[in-house]
Amino acid sequence: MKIEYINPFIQAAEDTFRTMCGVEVERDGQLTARKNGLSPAYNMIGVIGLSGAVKGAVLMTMDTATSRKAIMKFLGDETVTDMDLSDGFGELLNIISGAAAAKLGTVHLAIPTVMTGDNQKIHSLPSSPWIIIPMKFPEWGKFNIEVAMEEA
Amino acid sequence: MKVLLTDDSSTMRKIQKRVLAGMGIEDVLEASNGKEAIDLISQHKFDFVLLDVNMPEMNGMETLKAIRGNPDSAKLPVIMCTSVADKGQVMEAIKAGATNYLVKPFQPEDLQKKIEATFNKG
Repeated sequence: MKIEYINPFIQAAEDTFRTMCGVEVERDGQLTARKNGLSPAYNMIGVIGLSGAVKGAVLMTMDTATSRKAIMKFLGDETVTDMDLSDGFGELLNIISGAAAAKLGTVHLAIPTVMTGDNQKIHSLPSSPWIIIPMKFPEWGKFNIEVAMEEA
Repeated sequence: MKVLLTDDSSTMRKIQKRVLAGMGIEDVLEASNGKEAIDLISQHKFDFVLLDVNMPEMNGMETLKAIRGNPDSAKLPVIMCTSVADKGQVMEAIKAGATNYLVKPFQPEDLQKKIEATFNKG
């Protein structure tokens, strides 16, 4: 996978959390590859498919407690239902993916899917492993954005 | 003023609703896809529509074309509010008759300005 696919997602995550939630996020270490069949690091997982100039998927994974803090800020409301949590998580991923995709050519986004639970297996294209971008909220904790894509 | 919010994300609709309330707009109906939006447009007289693009059932572009293709709603102001930021797709929406276009992420004042600009155009 081309390394130039990565930076738009970091930039988009920074912009999205700053603009929609009023919180800063930052890169938290080196990129690593996650082999097919291994689980994402945290128990809340959003996935969105991409097609067009590139094909593949983007994944965001975060623990539920951190997700709840982010969605409280997103909604501007202390009361976050389970529906708000999954819907808001998917919408934040959708916004991040849209902003990043605009820098990769004409890319179409699928509808995001959000799941919770440990030991989920999320497979990518056989030729394109998940690249993990470690991120963090300095005050709340870590999360990952993962990208698995290739030129169409 | 009566407004239709169309977005498959209920959290996004809550955020938009709060911005509208801050502008004194309380008469708001909600749709989670284009089909629901078209149904509501056929039953109510709206002053404008906020329309997402990526939605299940009927997406925002199909919905916009359906609105413009119906003489009863052809002139209804439609503000696209979407994560689709690709210039080609933005131009496609403008050509299809979008009155204005707001790319997510946005701050509340960005949405307010787009709504105000939409009505200043007329």
